[in-house]
Amino acid sequence: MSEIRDSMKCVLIVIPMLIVGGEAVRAQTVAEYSRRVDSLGRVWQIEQRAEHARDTVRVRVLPSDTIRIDQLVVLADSAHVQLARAIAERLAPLVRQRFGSFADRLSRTPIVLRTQLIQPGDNDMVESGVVNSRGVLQALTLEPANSKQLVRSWQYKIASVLSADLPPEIRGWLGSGLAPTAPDRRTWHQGRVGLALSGTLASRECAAGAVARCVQALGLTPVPNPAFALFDATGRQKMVADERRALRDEDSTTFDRCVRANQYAACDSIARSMPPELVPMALPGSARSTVLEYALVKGGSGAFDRMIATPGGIRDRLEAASGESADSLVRQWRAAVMDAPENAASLDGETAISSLLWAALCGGLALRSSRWR
Amino acid sequence: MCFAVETRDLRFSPGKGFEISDLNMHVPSGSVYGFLGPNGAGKTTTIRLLLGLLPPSAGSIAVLGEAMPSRHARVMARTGYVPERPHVYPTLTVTEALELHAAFHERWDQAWAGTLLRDFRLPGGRRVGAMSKGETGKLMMLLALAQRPDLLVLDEPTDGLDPVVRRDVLEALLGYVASCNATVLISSHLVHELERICDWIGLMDRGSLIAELPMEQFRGGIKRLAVIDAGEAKEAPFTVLARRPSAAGGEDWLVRGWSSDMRGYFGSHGATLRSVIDLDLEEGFVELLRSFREVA
Amino acid sequence: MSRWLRMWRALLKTQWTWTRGMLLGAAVLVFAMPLLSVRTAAGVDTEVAFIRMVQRWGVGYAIVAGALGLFVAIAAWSSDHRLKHIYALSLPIARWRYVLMRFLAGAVLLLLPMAALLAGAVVASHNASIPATLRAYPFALTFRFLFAALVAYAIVFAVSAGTERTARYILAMIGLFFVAQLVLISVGSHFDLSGHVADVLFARPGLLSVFSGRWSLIDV
Repeated sequence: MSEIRDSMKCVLIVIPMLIVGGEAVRAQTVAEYSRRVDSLGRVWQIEQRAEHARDTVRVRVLPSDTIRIDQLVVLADSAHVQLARAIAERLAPLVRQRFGSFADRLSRTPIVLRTQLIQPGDNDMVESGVVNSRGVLQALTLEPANSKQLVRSWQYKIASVLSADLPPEIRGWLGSGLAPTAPDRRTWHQGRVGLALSGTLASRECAAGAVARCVQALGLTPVPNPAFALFDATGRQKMVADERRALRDEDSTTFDRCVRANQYAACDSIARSMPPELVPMALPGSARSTVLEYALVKGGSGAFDRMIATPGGIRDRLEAASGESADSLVRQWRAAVMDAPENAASLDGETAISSLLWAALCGGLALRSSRWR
Repeated sequence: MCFAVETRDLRFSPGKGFEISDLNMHVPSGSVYGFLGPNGAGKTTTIRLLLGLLPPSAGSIAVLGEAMPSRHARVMARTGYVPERPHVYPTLTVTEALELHAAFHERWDQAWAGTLLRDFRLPGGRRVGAMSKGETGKLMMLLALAQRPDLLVLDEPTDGLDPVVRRDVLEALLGYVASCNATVLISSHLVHELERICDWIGLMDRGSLIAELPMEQFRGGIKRLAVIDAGEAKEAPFTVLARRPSAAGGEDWLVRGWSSDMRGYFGSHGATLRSVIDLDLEEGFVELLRSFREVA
Repeated sequence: MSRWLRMWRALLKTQWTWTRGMLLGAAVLVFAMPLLSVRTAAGVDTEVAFIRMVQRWGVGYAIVAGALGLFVAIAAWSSDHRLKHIYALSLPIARWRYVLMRFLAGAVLLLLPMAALLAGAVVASHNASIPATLRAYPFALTFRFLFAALVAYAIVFAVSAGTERTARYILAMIGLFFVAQLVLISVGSHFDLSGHVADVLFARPGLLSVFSGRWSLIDV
């Protein structure tokens, strides 16, 4: 939270200054320019010191009671010690099971639980956050003071902290962070949604059963000319439209012909010259995340540690985590997500039974219809 | 004597100033019982109480030997009912109405229903809602008769019907009664109609049964006597229903059970009998009503 | 044939007479809806757009199901109400048996539009070119439709079976709800009464939970 504030302050202070400064630069001598930059720098330093002072005050408000359960360290004020302990005792084994020894780094980033300062007097709410490596309290959230909500909140915070420390090969491939909880039926359904709706050529062929295309769509194997190998004409058009800002050197006329006039040849010409790093993966992050989860499930105990410890790219790491070849892993993953049963369009048993029971109840009430009218 | 319908201290108080109080009614089995009374007397309400369509406030009801309203399903299986207003679904055709009714009545006589359909000249394909009042009246009678009931309860069945239809309906009714020992409870305010067919009469006014007697007694027995110097009617050999001053001087006595050899009674009591006037059913009904209201 | 079955068939026949126009019209409508939904989605480029086009018809299914239940229930009782229940009460069966038979007759009649919807959904699923990554859910859609119609039918049937006093109580409760909501607004309370009531009704396993969810013939 304070990082966002920092960034906003940067933007709000620096940009007007740059605007003002920029106007002056055009008619200035070098000396005058140097003096103005120094002045700007001094203002910036003053503001930074003030912000640090405010943060320091907040850090001083950190609770004093410390609870250590396995890798979890929780700082709680005296009113919430029991609650913090209960949550930590519940979460620690789950975190250990899921993230293995990688979770040890959590001891350097304590979780904070304290009486909330925003709405004094409201004892049903608490503040919860994480102290980062610089000692700054971040990810500060206002939560209801019950263990169910807090467990969920802390799982997200822990996943966020650990995601930031992931090796770049994994972090870059995932796109989004680690999922906070172990996979369930919804996870595989999410994978299917990602696979079904990504709309790319490779994902369609993957869904149809071509496992090799799944591997390519997941970015686990290099593909020459990915813009053409993994995407059809419509996909390339979308890719060009999404990457407009990055394609600074492109002729705007060609761009307009592609995006506005739907001339796919124009899209193809832009795609041909597109740097490979701008070509997105053919399956979205939501689908990729489920592949990682599936690998962890397949690999069982120690899977996460093996994934972290193995050097190399994402393919090697997934193979190490799951104990399977990438092709076999992806084949099994594809079967699992395609068979994922839960879907909002289908009628689940609970809704069906509850409807019948409600109808029966109303019918039963109707039977009490009186003779006397 | 056994009774097809019997009530004991029956009371019904729906509020709004109307009440049926202490009704003791006895409809002999096998009789044609005329239920007579002016509009608003409580005849329809009483019939609905008898058939379990209204909950009594107090008292007991027995119909065909079964307590009502608790045994109403068993009773209605043996009872044909023609209500005051048509109760058949107007969107059904005549044939559909018959099929529906037949499904609920185990004693339904399909052959006889067909005969009645022909005799009443009712078109099977016509919607009930599109029929005339006479046709609807005949249909309701057909439904009641064809289920071969032990008890027929008819609430003003010929009200508003033309004479031809009325004749058809009453003929069918009498034909049925003659063929089996069914009991008929028929309510009407048309006195002359009941006079022809009923052998028992019950007179109702303002929620009370003011008289219940065989038709013979009612028809032949009620007379108006013009009496002069009348004293108290002690030990009279006849029943004095009412006494009121006469415009011509003296009193008018309304009596039942009079015979001509009773003239000597007045002489022995110092009174003079000036005249004896026979009353027909309608006049007797009116006189009874008037007397009852004056007493009330 | 058993006596009760004979009676029930007779009531079923009368209710069919009263509702056949509406049921046949609804059957034609719900047969056509799946076919039209995939036809409008034909030719779109992406799976997301395909689903979106098909799902636009989703609200229609829910509305038709609710309306069907409502009108079949009203039709079941309207003739009796008009005749002040004299005919029904003079039949030689207990009141609760009569009500039960009427209820079951109306519920059975709802199977006709359900069958029409199933037929239309199956035909649409087979004849449409559905993107390979999407699936058709004809049976799920049909059963959701049936259960939704049944719930709507049962609610309205129960209300219609009551006396005038029952109807007054229900109207009074609804009125009280609106008064309470107005009072809360006027005192500046942030308590969202209608939101809470809606949550209770529409969230599983609430009374109307079958109406929520995705009414979509084609989905992921």
